[in-house]
Formats: sequence, structure tokens, C-alpha cells
Amino acid sequence: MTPRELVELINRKAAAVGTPPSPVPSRRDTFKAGDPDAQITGIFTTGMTTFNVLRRAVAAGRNMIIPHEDTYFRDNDITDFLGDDPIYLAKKAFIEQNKLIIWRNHDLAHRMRPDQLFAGQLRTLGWTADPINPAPRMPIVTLPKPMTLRALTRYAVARTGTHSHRVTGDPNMIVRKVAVGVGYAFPSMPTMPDIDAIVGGESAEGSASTLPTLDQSAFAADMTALGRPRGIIFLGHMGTEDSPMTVVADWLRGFVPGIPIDFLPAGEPFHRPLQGFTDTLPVRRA
Amino acid sequence: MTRSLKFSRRNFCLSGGQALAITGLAGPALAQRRQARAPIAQTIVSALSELADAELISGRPEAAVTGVALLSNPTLAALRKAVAAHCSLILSPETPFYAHPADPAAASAPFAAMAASAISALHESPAFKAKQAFIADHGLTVYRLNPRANSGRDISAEATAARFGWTAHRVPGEHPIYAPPGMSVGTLIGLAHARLGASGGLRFIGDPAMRLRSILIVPGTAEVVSTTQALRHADALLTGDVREWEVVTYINDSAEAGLPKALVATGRILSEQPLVERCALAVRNAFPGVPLRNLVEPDPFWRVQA
Repeated sequence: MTPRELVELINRKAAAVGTPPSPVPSRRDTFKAGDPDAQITGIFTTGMTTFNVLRRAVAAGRNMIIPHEDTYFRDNDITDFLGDDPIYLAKKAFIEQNKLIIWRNHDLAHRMRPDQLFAGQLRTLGWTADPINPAPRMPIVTLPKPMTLRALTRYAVARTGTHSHRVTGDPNMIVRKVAVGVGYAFPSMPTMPDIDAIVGGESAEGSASTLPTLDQSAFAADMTALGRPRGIIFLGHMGTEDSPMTVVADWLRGFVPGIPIDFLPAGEPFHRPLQGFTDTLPVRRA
Repeated sequence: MTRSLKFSRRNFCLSGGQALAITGLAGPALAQRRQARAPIAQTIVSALSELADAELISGRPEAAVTGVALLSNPTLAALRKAVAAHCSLILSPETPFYAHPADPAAASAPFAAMAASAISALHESPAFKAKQAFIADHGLTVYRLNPRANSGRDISAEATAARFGWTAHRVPGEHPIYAPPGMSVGTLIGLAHARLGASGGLRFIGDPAMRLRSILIVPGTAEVVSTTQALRHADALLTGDVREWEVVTYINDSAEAGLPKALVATGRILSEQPLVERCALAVRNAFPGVPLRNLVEPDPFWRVQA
């Protein structure tokens, strides 16, 4: 099978389960590299096409990668700003020398019902979305039992294995209901007045964004100051959209015969925190 | 480790005999007398014109100023502290209202209805309403400080370099790159903690032992195009906030490309504190009689051991 045939098959299968092609073709879900008419030797799905993922794919003898995120450091993968940047050129040369084929699956995975990334993240977290009709894009989860924000953080970190997570809010606040985010798809706290915490990926800090994107941390701090405690656990982009690409690999295996298909973790980009930065629970001030 | 900020809340805001002005004076008569000779908000922000563009967010430019509060993060809690210190002029690199207002042109964009609904929810939220009411009730005038960055000068980066003791080590050129001696990823992290208070929000890329000959400073949020172009000329990026699919991936790929670069991201709010401090000093120098508070915030983030 060729990559072009594979993508056509994926789109037909998606349509057959209720996700027809978008009327506006996705600018994200395109071939980023390689010959769409070559023969596929094997496929890895992953959260991010890091250089390290490329090396591991080659070492495993597979020539096609289906990442969720971009390859060349910008959502649109337009590389003109990179010019003769040596890091970009080294990555591009490695892809070309090894005849790797990269087809991004971002928008389709999010358009599937259920959204494959949210489904994967709920599975990772071991949670079931509250039954709400119509189902919100970002799942709401009533926890099996209330817990402190600190305990919830320990739980989410243990489930996802993220070491570069960041949390804002009172560690002792009680969390009953959470909104789940993945990647930069971050629940908007003002639209969810009855949730106590967000367990999401990444969101811009500070107020440089334009509404409706907003500084969620500052909003949570102000709600807390008003006596309505709110917390946010930022698990990072790869803490929320890497392992969920397992769902895409599982789905593909169901209808793509004779080609090895597996998930290959990109992993967190950040180094493990140094001693002194690993457990930084705030100390209550008098 | 303890923080060793040059100007902490304790030793900066009450300097120059201003403690009495803040804590010892109260009562309507005294307030009226102070207001009668107080400069107006517009006059005070004009003293910052070489450092930042002051963007009016709330209040009146012609309002008499009873005191100035420099806030790195204008949360409700910080505004309350400012009012408790009798400050009526709030200056911050951030707006209290969480973002820039919506672009009217976006009303016809895809998902415009969803965006409008989210914005409406924000405007109806307890936090937004309480903040708006608090600012109005206390007659606060609020300006956002957009730091100057042009003609090869980046005021916020220069303020950060000064805080780190690197001013003399500026590398000639258009980018705010510094070459302090004896630097490694590990020592840079230690400095980010000591000078900016970075703790639970600090994230980094690179071998802690990696030697750094040059460091690019991008306070605030590191935008991908300008940052990657400048980073070609430096070994490391010291910044506030970063997007994982942009600058972070570029730096993460650098070691595999045989050209290792490092990242130390402290969080945006902390990264802007040197700018806030520099603006505070400018106000104090220009208006020594006006009470001033520079509220230094701790790292807003924490983490648990993975």
C-alpha cells in the first residue's frame, strides 16, 4: 500500500463512521515529506515528529510517520522563516536521506466522534466523561470521589508520567468536577462555572492573547480570591496528545492489513526537573 | 535556596521615606491635601515613555494619583494589596482582564458564534465583574505597559540582563544576546531561581552540565519566528512562556541535529519582573514624593515529584 492509498482509505473509513471529509480541506493534515506513492514498510503514530522519533523510526525499519503535531516548528509547517537554519536543514536532510514519509493527522483525529485525542487522554487518566447531551467537545468528569488539588495532581502525574507538569491553585482545595483538555485545546474556565479544576495540556500564560483565548491561570487566581477556589494542572502538550495517538494506531490496525502499525512516544521535550525543583508545593504564608 | 532579589517587596516599596506616606497617613483631609498636589496618571506614565508604551485599560488619565502600584500580575489579590496601600494608579505588563479585547474583524471567522459565547461567558463571570467593579469602586486608573523593543534595543531583555549582572557582557548585534563567563545550563537554572524566583514553573531543555557561551533573552512569550532566527546566534534561550510545538520542538531537535541548544523557561509573569522593577525605578526617580509599591509575586506554579 502507498501512503496516498492509505490516506484515501483513512478518509473513507472516517466517513463510514460518521466523519465525512471537511468542506474546507485541512491545511494541517497533509503530506509534510516523502513520496506519497512509495510502498509503506511500517507506520508509527506519535504526538510530535521530533528528530529523535525520526531516528527511532528508521532504526525500526519503518518509513511512514503519522504525527499529531507539526514537523518544522510551526503549525502551518511553512518553512520560509527557517532559511538555511542548520537545525532545520539537518532534520530535513535526515528525512530525505531515509526516504521517510510524514502525513500529519491532526484535524481528522479531532473531528472523529468521539475525538480520538480526548478519548485517548480519558483512557490514560482512567476517567469516563459525564453523560451530557449534546456532548461537549471538552469532556467534563465528576471524580469518583472528591480529592484535593494536590492529590489530583499526584494522580494525573502518575497516570501520565509527566515530570514537567505545572500546577496553579491552592493544593488543599477540594476538586469534585474537572474539565479535560488536550494539547492547546484548553477548556475555557469562564464557560464552565461549575468545574473546580482543569486537567489540560498547555495554554498561553499572561494576557498577550486576544479573546476568546485568555490567561486561564489569572482567571483561576481571581476566582480563588473570590472564595470560589479553582485549580489548573498543565500536563504539557506531550502529556496530553502523545499517548492518545495510540488510539489512532489502534484504529488504523483495524482496517489496514499487512502493515505494522504502532504508537511511538515522542515523550516530553523538557528535561526532568533538577533537585529543588521537583516538589515545589507552595508554603502557606501567614 | 532563598530568593535574593535586589529589590524585594520589603526593601524596595518602602524606600526613600515613603513608608510613612503609605502606612501612616489616612483620613479624608489628608487624602484631599495629597491629591491637591498629586501628579495626574498621564504625567506619571509619560515618565516611562522610553521604557514602555502605556496603554490605558481603565480609569482616567487625568485622575490625581495617590500612589503608584507596579504589578507583575494584576490579579484581584494584587489589586487589593495596591488599594490597601492607597495606590490609585496601577501599572503592569499584563491587563487585569486576561487578554486583549476581541478583534471585531473576527466576528465573521469560523467558530465566531462559539467565540462570542465564550467572550460573553467571561464578561458575565464573577471574576471579570468583581474586578471591573473593584477598579471602578476604588477609582483606579490602570495602564498596561508594553515594553519598548526596537532599533536593536529590547528594554525588557536589558532589564533582565541587569538583574542577572550581565549588562557588561552584551554581545554586539541586533539581538539581546549575552555572554557571561562560566555559564552552564545548571548555573543558569540556579540564577533563574535566585534572580527571578523561578521554582515550580521552571522548565528546561539541555544537559545541566552543558557549557553556555551565549544566552538569548526573550522576556514574556518567545514567538517562534523571531526567536529561532535570533537563537541561531546563541547557545541558549532564557525566556518566559513557550509553545511546545514551536520553539520548544526546535530546541528539542537541536541536540539530535548535532547543534545542541538549551532552553530555560521561567514562566511569563516572572520573566517580566525586571521590566516592572525598571519602570518602578523610573517612576521613583521622576516622582520621589509619590508613594510607590512594586509588588513582587512568587512563582504562580508548583509541581509534585513525578
